[in-house]
Amino acid sequence: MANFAGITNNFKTKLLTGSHAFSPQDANTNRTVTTADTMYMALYLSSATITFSTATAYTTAGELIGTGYTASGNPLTSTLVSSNGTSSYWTASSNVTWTALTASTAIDCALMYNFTATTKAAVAVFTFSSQTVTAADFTLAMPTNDGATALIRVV
Amino acid sequence: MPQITIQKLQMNGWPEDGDLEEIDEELLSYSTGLVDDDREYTVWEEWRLEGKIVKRRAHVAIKKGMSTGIELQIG
Repeated sequence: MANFAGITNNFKTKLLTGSHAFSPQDANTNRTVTTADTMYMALYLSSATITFSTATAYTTAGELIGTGYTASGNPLTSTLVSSNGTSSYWTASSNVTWTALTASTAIDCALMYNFTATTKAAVAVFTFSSQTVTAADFTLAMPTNDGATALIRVV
Repeated sequence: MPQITIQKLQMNGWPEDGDLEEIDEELLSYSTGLVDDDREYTVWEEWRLEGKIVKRRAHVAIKKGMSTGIELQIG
């Protein structure tokens, strides 16, 4: 089993159905949702199977269980969607850190998902080198928020 | 002497999982390393007692996020 990184296929559909709001939405006569959703990042074991092509929502299957980790993961700090004229992009304004974490086994994957959505719809899968953490912090540091490297980009 | 929080775990070769404990940092051996490729810059640090890990942290910097495209149409 392995985890595979990418924007989830499900995200592309949900984008067109207006199911994700990374920034407050424009006023709309059909809907009253004008506040941004809260995105979360959950951590998964190296032995899990979290794949961009099949992940549709947050799942506890393969999720890290450990001291200092709460199921569902940690929230990402909200920021406004930016654009450089050709690409639009979004990156959390702060790194996400799990403090005093002890991971039961190695982790190599983070699932970003929409915590506010009832379905907990999956956004993207990130993978990294397999890491263990013992009685210490684990940090996912955000990339530069621009059209080339931002965490989520529509190009 | 500076104290450091450690934990002995079976996954790190200890006979059983222990509780968090404080220990003099100078009793531990320290090492660090990194992973640097196109998608991440990761720095890890670990502290060992009797050759076995008792503390390990990792800082994973995502170099590049994920993108999805919209097909360009001309004409």
